[in-house]
Amino acid sequence: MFAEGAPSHNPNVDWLNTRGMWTLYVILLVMFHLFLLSIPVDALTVPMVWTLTNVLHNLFSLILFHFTKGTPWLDTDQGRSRALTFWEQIDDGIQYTTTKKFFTILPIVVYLMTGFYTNYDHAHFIVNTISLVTVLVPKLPIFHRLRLFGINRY
Amino acid sequence: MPRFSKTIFLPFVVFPILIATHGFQSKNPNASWVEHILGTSWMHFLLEISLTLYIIYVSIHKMKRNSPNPLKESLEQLTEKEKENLIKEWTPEPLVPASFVQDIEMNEAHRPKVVCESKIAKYVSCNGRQYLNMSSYNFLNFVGNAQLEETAKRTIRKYGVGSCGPRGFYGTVDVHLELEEKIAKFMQCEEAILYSYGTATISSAIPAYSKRGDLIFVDDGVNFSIQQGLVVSRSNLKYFRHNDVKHLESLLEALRLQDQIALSRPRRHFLEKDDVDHPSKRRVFLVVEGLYANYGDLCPLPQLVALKKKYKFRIFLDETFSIGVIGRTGRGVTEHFDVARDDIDLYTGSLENALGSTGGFCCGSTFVIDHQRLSGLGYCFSASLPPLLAAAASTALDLVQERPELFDQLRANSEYMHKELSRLPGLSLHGLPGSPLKHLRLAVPSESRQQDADLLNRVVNHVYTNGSTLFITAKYAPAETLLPQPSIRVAVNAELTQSEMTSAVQEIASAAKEVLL
Repeated sequence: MFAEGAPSHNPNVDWLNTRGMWTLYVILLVMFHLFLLSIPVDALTVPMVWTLTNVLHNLFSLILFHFTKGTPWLDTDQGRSRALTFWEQIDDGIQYTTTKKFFTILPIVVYLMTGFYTNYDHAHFIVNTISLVTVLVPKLPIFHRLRLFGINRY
Repeated sequence: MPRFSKTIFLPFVVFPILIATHGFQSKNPNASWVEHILGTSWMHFLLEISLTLYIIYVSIHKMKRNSPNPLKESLEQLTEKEKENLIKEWTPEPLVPASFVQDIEMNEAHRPKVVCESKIAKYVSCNGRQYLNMSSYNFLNFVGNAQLEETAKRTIRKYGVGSCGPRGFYGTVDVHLELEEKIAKFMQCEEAILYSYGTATISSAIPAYSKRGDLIFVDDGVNFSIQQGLVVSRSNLKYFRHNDVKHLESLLEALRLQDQIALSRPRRHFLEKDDVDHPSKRRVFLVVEGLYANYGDLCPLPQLVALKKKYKFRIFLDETFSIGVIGRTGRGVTEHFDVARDDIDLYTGSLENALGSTGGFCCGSTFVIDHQRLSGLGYCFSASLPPLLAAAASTALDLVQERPELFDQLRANSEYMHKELSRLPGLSLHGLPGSPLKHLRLAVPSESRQQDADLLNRVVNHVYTNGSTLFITAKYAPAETLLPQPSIRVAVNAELTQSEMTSAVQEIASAAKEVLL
């Protein structure tokens, strides 16, 4: 962002690379899951709560990572990140960095666990798979800066 | 590896098709987890296996950029011999190309070689002779003013000669803060920011706000520092003809219609890269000069403000030449046209011309100015104005407020000069009667710009060798994109006497008669 060779400074995404961020993220996800489990409603069985955790987490990351664009800071980038989603700004657009690997693998792991805890139920399977695909596809390197069907183009 | 990286995505295509075409196997709810997994549908099982494989693939994949460096790739394909040959073939180009030097020499061929041995005040001595200076922007005769010099000397004794750093890095001295406050008060704005170089002011202010993807409407007669600012901002530019409000309005109207279409019907194509030019994503600015350095006329501010209210854009007004010159008390074109100060979003001015010091300033609302303290390139990355010059500028502002009669004198002189210069043979006068900055251009320009420039240079040279007045032709930087016709630039001083003006006009009139007729 500054002179060639200088480290990038994009405060919008740099916090993802700070110490303890992954642990914090996992802890928050577990706490959210426990919170859903603790709601005393009969409809919220264990399979249901797993599906809810998976779907809501994926929805949250879809909006945060793949829908919001631009950065509230960083005046020196001359509007370069104005058109980039949060995911595309991470690590300056470099693919397969550890942060990106973590955030790619996490929803898959949650999905696999959900599959197990929902007893591989057919309805749950469809919902969870669709939700997983929505967050996994935009993370693929070929989807970098690509707006499929013009979705979220502006 | 490349083949593998493509096949890994195959399951994502294949599985939805399989799921759609096959049913699920029934399962036993009472089975153990091993039986459970083994008893699930084979598609589900395969999907999970492939996701697990994908996890492994992602975790062992090396980091890579989306667009690898093409130069590096092509270099890797070269053999050692080819590399050697390439290195042998290469010869460095000269740092300054020969054609550039030739151009400069040709342009300067007929220009008088003026070397001044004194202060560049109302009178200058060059080559041992005394000349009346009609070419410096010394409108209020503040160069060589005893009071300013006294202030500067006093400040040197207190602070030394330099400020030793940029404003944000040990370069701020109390005189800077005082001057900023004084400028804000003088310009009747909330806040002002001080730059150390007048030319860098507007060229830092424009890119501080207008970025890539934004749109700027510009008068095509703006001066070089604005042109530089426009280039640095990387915004999209739309030029309208000099002081042609009708043309500007037609451009704005076209933009409005274009925006309407874009807003009502967003185009959607398959696999479309995104587009930052959408109307909701850009800001629109208008950049004009108060008093045009290259033309000597004023911008039609009231009409521009009316357009601003109709079409919603922001106005940047560069008052580099109009501060301390135009208006009843020298507060610039807003005072002259009686336009409300808040209607202009940003003013930039200079302390270098009428005020006889160095530096520039920018003023506006607190929000607007505060933004520049971290985003104004000239403010952040260059050493601050030397305290002695800031103090001198501060005194100059006091003088301007103490002696409002200076502006009446300046206007009277300008009008007189305008009347006299418009009668010159072979030359036509550009500029307003009340403006002290005037341009004399050839009445009948030829096809060749160089030829016109040479003729004017010969007129000036004739005055320089035979008379006792210093006129000079306007000089333009090689990088300038909006070149006006060549001209003799006349700057009127407020303290010129009637006889001085008459003799100056007589000298240039006889030179014009000699050279042009």
